[in-house]
Amino acid sequence: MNCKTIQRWISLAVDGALPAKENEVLQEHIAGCAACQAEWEGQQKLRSVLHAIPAPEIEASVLPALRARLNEREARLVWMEDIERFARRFVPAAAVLLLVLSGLAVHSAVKRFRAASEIHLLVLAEAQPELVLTDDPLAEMAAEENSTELSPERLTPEN
Amino acid sequence: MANPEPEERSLIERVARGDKAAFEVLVKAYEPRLLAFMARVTGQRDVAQEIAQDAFVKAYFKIGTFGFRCSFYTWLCEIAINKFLDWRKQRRRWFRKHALTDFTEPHAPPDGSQSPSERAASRETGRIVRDAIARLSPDHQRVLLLREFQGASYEEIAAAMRCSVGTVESRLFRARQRLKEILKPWMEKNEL
Repeated sequence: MNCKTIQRWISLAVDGALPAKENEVLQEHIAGCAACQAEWEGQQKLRSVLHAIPAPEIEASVLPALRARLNEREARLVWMEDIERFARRFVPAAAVLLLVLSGLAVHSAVKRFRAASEIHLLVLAEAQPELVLTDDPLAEMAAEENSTELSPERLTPEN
Repeated sequence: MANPEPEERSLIERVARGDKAAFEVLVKAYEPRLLAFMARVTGQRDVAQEIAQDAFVKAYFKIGTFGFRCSFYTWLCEIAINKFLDWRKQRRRWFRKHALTDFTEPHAPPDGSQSPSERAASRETGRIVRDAIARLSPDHQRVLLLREFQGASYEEIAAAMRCSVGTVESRLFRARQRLKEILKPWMEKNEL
């Protein structure tokens, strides 16, 4: 039996968790192995050190403080559940309302912008018709005909 | 799977349905043991009480996850150890942030059976051993504290920590090897 296995068995034996047969093998090995004997004594000593740690006596019960904490925590949970219920009921409706209102606002803004643009174009058309761009080529030609600026073709020796 | 007494099982099932009176019965049954366990782990009365309270609060709200895989008390101790590890992590962070050294000494009140020098030596032993345990990994601390300070069996520890018995054996072995190594200077001089 190798020492590595024995040392693991020592840890089990200290807890009384090593089966009887393995315990016999362990004790035989320890009797003839100084290193494992030292390990066995070291583990026993460690156990007694751990069990001898002093601990303060505590007589006061935690129950009164515990009751207060549980009540406070439950009150907080009830409050959070109320918020959650409210949110579940009203948030979807609020979201839809917000969308509709946003849509109306955008629509209204676009209308106002178009109206302002049309007024601007009308004013511009009266003041400087040649600057007004249209999609209508005939209108463009008419605008050109009405323009007072002489075109190079018109500049003939007779004129 | 643990087999609790029928009365305890019934109490736990009632607590899961929100019965605070049933929970108080459990608290009264386990409070002295849990406080003694945490007093040994922390060495400080007020910290032990605070952590025990935290553990009971958590147990109340998480009782639905208990599952009867180990005894209720072992499950409670596991919760308490996790609370203790969190507390210690926060404390270290606080001391590091304020660039302070934690000189607080855990101490037990004098019981008249020891001389002042014996009491001082005893407190020092406790401090040295607790500091050494604190240097182990969290999993090693859990198995060691449950085994050495609470006396839980390997099977109970395995169920509480949701691992195999083989893993518990292995972790305990490594935890003890490491602890012996850390405490070697004091043990060699017979100062423990």
